[in-house]
Amino acid sequence: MRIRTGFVSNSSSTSFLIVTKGEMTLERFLALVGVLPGSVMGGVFAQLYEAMMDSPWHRVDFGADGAPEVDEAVASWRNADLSDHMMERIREAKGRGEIVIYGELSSDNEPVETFFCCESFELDGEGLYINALEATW
Amino acid sequence: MIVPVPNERYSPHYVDGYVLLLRQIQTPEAFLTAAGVTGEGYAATLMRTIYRQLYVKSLDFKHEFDTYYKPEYRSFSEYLERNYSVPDELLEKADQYYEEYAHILLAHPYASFLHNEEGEKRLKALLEEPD
Repeated sequence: MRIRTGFVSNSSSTSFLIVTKGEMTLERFLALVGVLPGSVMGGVFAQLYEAMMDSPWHRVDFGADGAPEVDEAVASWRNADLSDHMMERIREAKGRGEIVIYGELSSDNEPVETFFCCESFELDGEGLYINALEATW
Repeated sequence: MIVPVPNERYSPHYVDGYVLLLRQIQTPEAFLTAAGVTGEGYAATLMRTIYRQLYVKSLDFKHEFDTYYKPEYRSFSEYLERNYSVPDELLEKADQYYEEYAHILLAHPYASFLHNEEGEKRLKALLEEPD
């Protein structure tokens, strides 16, 4: 597994990209970040998971029948937020028939979401990739 | 034992600092175990940062007093009162706490999920303090 972390000093919102082989679940998310369910930090990361899953901007299942091409799928997304690195992962997801979720965290919400909105991290594990590196307004 | 320290710049009710009264300092391993961290993932990296903020970058009032200021003050409570804005509940029993605890730390964890009432509960669990 690869991890990259950092922070931004002030951020009102940050975008994130999830690429998952099969459905994203709380159990898989907690395993990726490395916490036990029901523990102190398990509760914190469960809140982050809920925040991420609550209102994703876009969700594309590239394994589904009639799945769009990458350029077609992201045409309506906020392309300015999609780095070459993110686009590369989305193209890989298309090739592997994976699910891509693109959404936003806001610093105006609960303390857990606020904190991770100002954190910057990239996690790459077994069949699950999360990119919250590119904090944007 | 934990005494919350409100941040008066924001609000008298916003707590982002704590005085930690401790008989001993947890090891990083014990802290990560209390947090529920497994392996060497992102959670481990994050909690090591928070550990440093609590135990390494914090100000140890007792150590500072013993090392530099003891001859200048009649008591630990006088030293605290004249130099720091600490809650009355701490000040009133400061001399008793000085005898009772090995470390009296002022810590400001940067993680907002450790601030305020809910955050204090999490911090107590991390420090393995009774709620």
